[in-house]
Amino acid sequence: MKLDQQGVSIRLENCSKTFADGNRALQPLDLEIRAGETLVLLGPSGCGKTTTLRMIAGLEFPDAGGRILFGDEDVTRLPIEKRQVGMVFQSYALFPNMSVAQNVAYGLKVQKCAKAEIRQRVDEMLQMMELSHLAERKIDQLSGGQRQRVALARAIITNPRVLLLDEPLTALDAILRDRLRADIDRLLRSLGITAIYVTHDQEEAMALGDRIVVMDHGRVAQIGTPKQIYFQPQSDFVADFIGQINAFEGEVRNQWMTLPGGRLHCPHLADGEARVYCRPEDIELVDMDSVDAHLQGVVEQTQFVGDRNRLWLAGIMPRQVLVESSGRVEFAPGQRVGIRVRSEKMIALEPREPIRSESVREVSPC
Amino acid sequence: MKRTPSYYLQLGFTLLICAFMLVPVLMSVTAGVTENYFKGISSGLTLRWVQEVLSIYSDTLWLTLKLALATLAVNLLVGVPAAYVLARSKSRWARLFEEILVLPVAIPGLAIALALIIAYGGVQDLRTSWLFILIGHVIYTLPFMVRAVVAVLHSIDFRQLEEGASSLGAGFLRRFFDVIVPNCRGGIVSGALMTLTLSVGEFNLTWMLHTPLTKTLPVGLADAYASMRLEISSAYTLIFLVMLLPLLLATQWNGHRRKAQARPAVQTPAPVAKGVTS
Ligand SMILES: Nc1ncnc2c1ncn2[C@@H]1O[C@H](COP(=O)(O)OP(=O)(O)O)[C@@H](O)[C@H]1O
Ligand SMILES: [Mg+2]
Repeated sequence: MKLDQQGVSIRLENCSKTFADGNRALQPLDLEIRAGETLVLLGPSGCGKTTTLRMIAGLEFPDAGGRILFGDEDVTRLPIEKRQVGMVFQSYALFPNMSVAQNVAYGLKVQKCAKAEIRQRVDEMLQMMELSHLAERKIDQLSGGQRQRVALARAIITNPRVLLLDEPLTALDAILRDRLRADIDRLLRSLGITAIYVTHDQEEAMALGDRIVVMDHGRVAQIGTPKQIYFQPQSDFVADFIGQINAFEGEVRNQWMTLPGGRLHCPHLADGEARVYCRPEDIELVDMDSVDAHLQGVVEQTQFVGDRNRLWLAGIMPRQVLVESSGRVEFAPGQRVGIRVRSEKMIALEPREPIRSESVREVSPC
Repeated sequence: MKRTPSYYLQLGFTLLICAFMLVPVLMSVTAGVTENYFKGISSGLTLRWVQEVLSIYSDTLWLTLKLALATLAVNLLVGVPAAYVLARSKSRWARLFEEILVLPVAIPGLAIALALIIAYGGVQDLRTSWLFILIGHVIYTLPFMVRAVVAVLHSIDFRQLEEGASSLGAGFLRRFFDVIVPNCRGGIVSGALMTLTLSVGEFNLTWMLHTPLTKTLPVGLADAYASMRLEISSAYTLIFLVMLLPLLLATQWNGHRRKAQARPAVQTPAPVAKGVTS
């Protein structure tokens, strides 16, 4: 089913948000969302994702000076019921007093559509979301995944100008989450609707977003495509937050960085203190006697996760280094291994702040 | 399981207490349908006394019903929106006010009546009207209605529900009647039953506020006990119980229904969907 309306572009200009208690949840923010694009707001809990989404929805209003535009229309002071948005809430906010079909029909009923038209569109929507057999059920008789689909159906049936989703999958268990993520992805692509999707889960963000806005403490840390965010993080925060990453830090002299476990070839770095990041899957394991084994460490822990082994190596940096390798090779704790990091796989960040103790995020399994 | 003597002792004691409480009621009820109470049941059963009550006191019955329904109407119109405003407000004063709302239970009806008489007793038209009693009944019962609805509102995430409705384009009134009111139904029903029960049975306050032309059933009943033969006042009591009984039963039933609803529904396994687009 294609929507009649493909959604609008959305612009936030200088939108900051200070709550009544004086809490500045958002620093002045400029953001442009293209028509038909899926934009993901990603960041740790409390960074202001929901606040941004609610401002776009019309449930919160920006501080004086901020402007929100839907296409060319200034909607800054328009309340949510006049904005023609579709919203999927984290806890779904389905109406317990109505059946599934009535929930889905509600938006059309409010728009005073003709009864016959409502019936037809609801039937179509229920069928598309594979909810037809549940049409007469009450909300408390549905599973989490079914509720989620009802919430989506209810939000998109009115052809909203933008679809807003606030962590729609967080309340579900992992298996269901994966399946529904794929479903939502397909749905957003087929509808071609402008969508803003809030999540704290970077995998979800990567899978769904045309572009990702990484947020930190009420600020935008980086905006880019999933690949840009993953491979070219522009700050320590983004590098840390997106996926798992190793930090190598030391003194560079003549293109070589000196580390506790040996040396690292960094042809792209000038002399002086430097830090580079590298994804676990970009580190190669090499034989100890190979000429490339400039860095050597001891396997401290291994974890077999099916398609790959995850190895935590000690002795290379003060903290463990995480390496991922093919699942078919055996490693035992205590074994000495050499590693190589190709310079083109390294992520160098400038300018630098003092390295943080948690800079190798989630790397230790303990 | 073998029953010990202490079991039979407890059973006997319980039955004794029940009898102690029920016997007077039964005696009163039988008195109302006995030809001559002093001669006992053997004098024969009759509905004569009931008919007599209906002819002497029918105005008190109608006034009681009218008052109860009018009180209910005011409580619905004022109490439900008031509860909503209270629950919505985040201020400390709103919480304090919610606490204060319980107080009238502790303030005797007599005190409310006295205050009303001091404040408005001079207005003759109001003083002699049944509306004067209505004001008293509303003041007395409104807190129960508000409390019942506020309790439900605090137990559901009504802000979120409202946001859901407004995201679908519903303005305030639509949200209120489509989402807030239906989801507060349990609280509204129990508040309504409470209002009716209290209004029908209220004596203290009503006795202070009534005039010879505005007597309710409980006031008439007191009057009957003082001035009529015992069979008539007993028949009157019987009618009173008949009016209250459905309300008490409905309250009980409503309580059970709400408890059953509060229990999480049994989840049926979700049929696996193959995808959302087809
Ligand atoms: N209504 C509110 N009043 C005061 N502070 C709030 C309110 N809503 C959110 N905040 C604060 O604003 C910050 C951002 O919140 P939020 O946007 O919900 O974060 P996220 O969705 O990214 O977890 C948090 O510090 C939160 O405590
Ligand atoms: Mg949030």
